[in-house]
Amino acid sequence: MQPTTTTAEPPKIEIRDLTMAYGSFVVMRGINATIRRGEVFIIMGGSGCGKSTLLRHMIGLKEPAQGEIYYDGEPFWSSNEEARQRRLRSFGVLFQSGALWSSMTLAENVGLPLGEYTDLSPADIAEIARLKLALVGLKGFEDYYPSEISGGMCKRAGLARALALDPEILFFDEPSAGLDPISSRRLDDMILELRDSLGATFVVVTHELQSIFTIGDNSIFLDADTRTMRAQGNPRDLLAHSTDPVVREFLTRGEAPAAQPPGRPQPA
Amino acid sequence: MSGEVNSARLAVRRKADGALVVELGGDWLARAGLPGIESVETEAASQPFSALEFDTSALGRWNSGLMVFLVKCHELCAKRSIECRVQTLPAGMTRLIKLAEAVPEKKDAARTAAAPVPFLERVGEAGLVVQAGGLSMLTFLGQNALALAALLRGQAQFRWADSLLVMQECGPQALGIVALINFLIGSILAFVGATQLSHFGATLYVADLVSVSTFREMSCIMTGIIMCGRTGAAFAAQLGTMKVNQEVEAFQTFGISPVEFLVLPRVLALIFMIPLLCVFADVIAISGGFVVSTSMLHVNPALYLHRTLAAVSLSTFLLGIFKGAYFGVVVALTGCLRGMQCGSNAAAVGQATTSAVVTGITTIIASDGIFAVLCNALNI
Repeated sequence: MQPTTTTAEPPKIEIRDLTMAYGSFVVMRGINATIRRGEVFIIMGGSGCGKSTLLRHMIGLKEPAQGEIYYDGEPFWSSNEEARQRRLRSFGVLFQSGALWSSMTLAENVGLPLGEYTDLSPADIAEIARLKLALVGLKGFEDYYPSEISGGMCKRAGLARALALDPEILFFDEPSAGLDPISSRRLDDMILELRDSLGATFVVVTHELQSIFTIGDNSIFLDADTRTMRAQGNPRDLLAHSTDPVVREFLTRGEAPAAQPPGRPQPA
Repeated sequence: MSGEVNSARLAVRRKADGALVVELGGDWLARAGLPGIESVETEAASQPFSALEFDTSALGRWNSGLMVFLVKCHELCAKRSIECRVQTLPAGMTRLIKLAEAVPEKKDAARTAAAPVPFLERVGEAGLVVQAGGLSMLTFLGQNALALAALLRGQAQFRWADSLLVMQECGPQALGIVALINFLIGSILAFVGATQLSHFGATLYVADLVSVSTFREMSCIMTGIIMCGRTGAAFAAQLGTMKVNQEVEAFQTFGISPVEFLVLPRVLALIFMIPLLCVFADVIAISGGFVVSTSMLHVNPALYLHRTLAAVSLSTFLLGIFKGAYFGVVVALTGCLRGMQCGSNAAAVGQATTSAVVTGITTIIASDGIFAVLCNALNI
C-alpha cells in the first residue's frame, strides 16, 4: 500500500513543536507530526478546534508563533521568501468552497498557474487545462464561469486547479463539506487514485468519519479543550487501540466503542 | 392552518393536596396576545404549594408560544425546588421540554455586560488602532512600490490584459457621469460668479473665473471624487469579495503576489485614466460655463472664448492633470487597501467599501489643500 521509501530519505513533511496563535490567544501548542511521502494524512478534531488553522500554517498563509514545519528536511518558515515561493509551487491547495477565481472561466482558472510558471504556449495550456478538468469529470465545462456551476462542481474544478502544476503535496480543507454522499465517496476514491498514480502526499482536514477511515494512512487528532494534539497514528489503529476517551468518543460518533471500523477492510 | 383562532385562556387553581394547577384553554399560537407567566407567579408567591400540575383538557392548537410559557413554568419550579409534574402534559410537550432542558445553559457563553472601560484606556486603545492602521497603510504602500519596481524590471506577475479591462471600466464607461457633473459645475460657477461680478460691471471676467477654477481645482477634484465613489468603492468590493471567497489566499498559495496581480493593474489603470478624464472634464466644464454665460448672461461668445484662452496657462493646465494622476493613485490604493483588509463575511465587504470611499475622499481633499499651499509657495 505504501510506496517503498529508503530510510535515508527525510520525511516529506515534519511539524516540530508548532504553536499556533492569533495575537496573544494561543489556539494550539505542542503539535508534532511526521508525514511520509505518499501518505494520506488526516487532520481531525471537532468543529472550531483549529484544524483549518493548522492547514493555513502548512500552506504558508499564517506564520507560526513558535516551532517550524520542514518539507523534505528543509525548514519552511525560517527560510527566505524566494525559497518559500519555490516550495509553494510544489503544493496544490483545495479550499473549502473551491475558491475559484470568479472573474475567470474554469479553463483560465486551471491555466493561470501554468501560464505563470511554465513556458508553455497558450494552446498547450488550454490542452492541459482541458485534461485536468476531464480528470475531475468536468469535460465540456471549460468556458463556464464559477458562478454558473454548482457547488460540488466548483469543488471539483478547484481540485483540477490544485492539480495544475502536478504538485508533490496536495492540501484539502474539508473536501466533503457540502457534498452529497455519492460525490463525497467519489472524491475519496479520487484521492486514493491520485495518491497511487501520482505518488503525491495528501494532507486532508476533515471530520467525516467515513472519509477518515477510508482514505487515512496517518492522522492527528486536535482537541480544543486541552489546546493540543491528543493522538497521532493510523485512524483505524486509533479506533482499535486508543485508550483516550475523547479520541474514542470522536471516532465512534459518541457511541459505544465499535468492534470493527467502518469503511474498507484494510489489506493484510 | 385555517379556521378561527380561539383566544388563549389561563387560569390557576389549587388542588386539595396543595398542588397548583395551571389550566390551559383555547389556542396557544405564537402570534399575539398570549397570557404571561405573571398570574402563575402571583399565585405561587401568595401561598406555598407542593407541586405544579397542568390541565390541558380545554387546550386547542398550540406551538412554540405555549412552549415558552411551559419552559418558564418549569424554571419557576426549578428555582423553588418544587416538583413540576410535566407528565400531566401531552407527551409531545413533555419531550420538547426535556429537549430544551437537556443541555445545561453554558454560563460563560452568555455575553456579560463588560465593565465600563476607563476614558484613558479607550483613548490609548484608539491610539493603538490608529497606529496599526497607519502601519498597515505604509506596508501596503511599500508593497506597491516593490511591485512597481518589479514591473519596471519586467519580473512582476502582471497581465496588461487585466489592466486594460480595468481601464475600460473606469475610463470610457465613466464619461457620462463625469460629463454630467462637470457640465453642471461649470454652469453653476458661471452663474454664481456672474451675479457677484456684475456688481462691479465685470461680468465678462466670468470666463476667467470658470476656466481658472475648473482647470486648477474643480475638474480634478470632482473627477477624483466621482471615481472614488464609483471605482474606488468597486475595487474595495471586488477585492473584499475575493477575500471572503478565499480567492486571494488561492493566489498566495500559488506563490502569486496579490499586490502584483490584483492591485497593480488597478493602480496603473487609474493613473492613466484619471488625467484623461480630467482633460475631458476641463472641456465640458468650460462648455457649461460657456452655455450659461452666452445664453443667460449675454456675454459675447467670441469674447468668452478669448478670455478663457488668455486666462489658462500651460502650468495651470498641467497642474490639474498632475493632481488628477495623483488622485488616481489615491483612489486605487485606498480602494484596494480596504479591499485587502476586508474581513471574512458579507458585512465586512460593506465596511470595506464605506471605508474606501471615506478614506479616499478625505485624502483627496486634504492633499488638495497641501497642493494649494505648495503652489502658493512655489508661485505656480
